[in-house]
Amino acid sequence: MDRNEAHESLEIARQSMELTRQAVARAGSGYILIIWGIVWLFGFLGSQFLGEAQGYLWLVLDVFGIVGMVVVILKSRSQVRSTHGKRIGIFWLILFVYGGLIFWIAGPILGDKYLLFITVFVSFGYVVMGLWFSPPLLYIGLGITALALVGWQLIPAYLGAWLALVGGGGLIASGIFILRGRA
Amino acid sequence: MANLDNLIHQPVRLRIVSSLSTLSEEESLEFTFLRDLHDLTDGNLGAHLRKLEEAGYVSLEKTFVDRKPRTFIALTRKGRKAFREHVKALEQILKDKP
Repeated sequence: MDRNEAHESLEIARQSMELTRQAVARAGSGYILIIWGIVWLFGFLGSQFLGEAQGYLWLVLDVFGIVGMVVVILKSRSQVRSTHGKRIGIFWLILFVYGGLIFWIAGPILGDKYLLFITVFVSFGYVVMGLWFSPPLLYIGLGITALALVGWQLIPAYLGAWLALVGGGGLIASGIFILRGRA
Repeated sequence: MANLDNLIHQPVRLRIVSSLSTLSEEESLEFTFLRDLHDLTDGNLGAHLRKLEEAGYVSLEKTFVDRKPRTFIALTRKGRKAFREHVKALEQILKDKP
């Protein structure tokens, strides 16, 4: 085999691997990011503008997020079978239990710090997921954390709206980015 | 010194094995997903998979999802090793030949 043939074969392998990674990502994670982006966007907008009534909004949005995610997972399972799904589910469950424990031990965490705590904690989850199996999620997590802290320092009066924009908007944009196959 | 694998070297099989190599050992791709990904026909993909299965490079599992028959394809440990060796051999050719 000559050099050109070897180069061509390596290029076929590289392109096939890239194509598969993108297709697998499109089969699940793109839609999941968009669903949780919508939850985040409207939830934090509610935190900014609705006052006490925000609790009901979060409840409705969380149910929407969980149902939507289950539907996407069940649909993508018919194309790609993986044990990752179970491990990812267990990871998020454990993360939220630990989040609750930290909240309980270190509390009371109120007002702006409460919104920031949720944002940073969920972003941490995305960072771990990114290190684990999907690099774009690492950058999404780090980016949202950095922008959340900037907003907290510079525009604390509009923190809820800011977090809705960078967190929810960021997740929706990332989901669309993955679905278009660029990630 | 790594050796080229004649079975994997065929372009369609190289595409199939490369795709499956992106998954972990516990993961598998559905037949139609792989077929559409590489723009193949059922017969073409089936024929190549048979050859790879005979060599022990892929495993096929027939099952039902939502009451529909599905075939899931995974790269075996042997297939993974053969692919790694094949890629190493190709890289070696690029390094050695001017």
